[in-house]
Amino acid sequence: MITKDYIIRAPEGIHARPAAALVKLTRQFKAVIHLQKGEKRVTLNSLLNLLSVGAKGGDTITLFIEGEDESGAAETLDRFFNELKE
Amino acid sequence: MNMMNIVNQLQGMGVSPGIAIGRACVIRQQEAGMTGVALTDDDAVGREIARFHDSVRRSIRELRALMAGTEATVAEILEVQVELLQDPMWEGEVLSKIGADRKNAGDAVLEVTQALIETFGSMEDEYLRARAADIEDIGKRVMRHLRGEDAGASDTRSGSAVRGHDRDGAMQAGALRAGVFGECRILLPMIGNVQELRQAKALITEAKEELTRQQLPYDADIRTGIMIEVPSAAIMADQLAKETDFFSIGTNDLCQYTLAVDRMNEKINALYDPFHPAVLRLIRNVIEQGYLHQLPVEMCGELAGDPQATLLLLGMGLRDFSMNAPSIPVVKNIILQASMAVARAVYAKEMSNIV
Repeated sequence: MITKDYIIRAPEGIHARPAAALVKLTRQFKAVIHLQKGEKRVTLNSLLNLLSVGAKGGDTITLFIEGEDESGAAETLDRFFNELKE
Repeated sequence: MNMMNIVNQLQGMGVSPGIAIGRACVIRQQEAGMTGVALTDDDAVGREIARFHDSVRRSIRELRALMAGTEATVAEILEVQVELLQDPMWEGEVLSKIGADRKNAGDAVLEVTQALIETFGSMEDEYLRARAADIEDIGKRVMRHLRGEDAGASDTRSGSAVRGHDRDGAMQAGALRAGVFGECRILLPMIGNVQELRQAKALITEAKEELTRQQLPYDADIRTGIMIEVPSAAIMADQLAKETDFFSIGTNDLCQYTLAVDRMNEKINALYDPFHPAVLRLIRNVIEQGYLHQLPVEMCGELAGDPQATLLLLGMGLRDFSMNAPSIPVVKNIILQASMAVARAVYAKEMSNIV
């Protein structure tokens, strides 16, 4: 399992458009991916779940990636969060 | 002076005449559009699940087609909706309502989207609150496909589409089969033009063919009439008369649509007036066309049970009045006391207003 923390740099946080893009990205992988902010932890296959986390700019979130293609998934998600600036 | 102690006074619109004394009871309304029809067996559950999946697929296809022709910013918003349509959480909840709670697909979708709209709508974050609108959109889109409507059909007509355009023809087949046990007629609501009438009749023909194939008994000569409640239908009564077995004038909607007055809106319901000359002209036209084409014409709106309208309608030529039970004795008494001469005189006097 790969675990990694990210600080959301986009001021608006993970709003609907990036959230939809993120869920779409994770669907390419077999790995099960969870996202956690504070106490709240959700599976990244559901846009509704992801939105309900309400990740804002400046928040720290943690990704938990587990599955045969986890390293590929981690790399792709790493790129996503580094490019998430708006 | 002995004052009555009024603890709480409520005002509202009367829906039937008379006075009633009893214990107050709050009736919580079902979500708009819910049918409450429960599924009776596993086959029905399977069918409804298939219908739900099919509607979601069609919705996604429709959104993708829309996205192809729009600029990037709009496409991104539509992409969010595509993603919501594929959301395992919403899908899972709808499936559980169908499978475990035995709700039909339409009711399940309405319930789940309504709950999500409430959840998102009450969130502190303004941005998340706005997502309620996206959820509402996808709910409506899926519902439209479940009802078998084409894209762009207006919400006002969606109620009629369920009845009029029901694709699997269950409703039509039901009426056709009930006809075996006694006289039964089909009344098509919200017909606005001849094309809609033909489409509805084609569906009935399909249902008949299906029943023949299944070798189930049905009333092959079932009479099919039109509810005249859209002004366009009242105006085009001469054309519609050629292709139907009877007319039933629904005055509540006819009045509402003719005068552009929503009678449920208490700010403007004072403008709701079934005695408006425009409404009376439409009613007269329908009755006249009925006579010319030898079609029975009946009236089933509130006007039919309004004692102030009885003689006027009688004079106009109406013979079939349908009303709530409490109105019957009053209207019956008026008809028994009056003569046709009196009724025609009342109508002739009113004519000066409605020529």
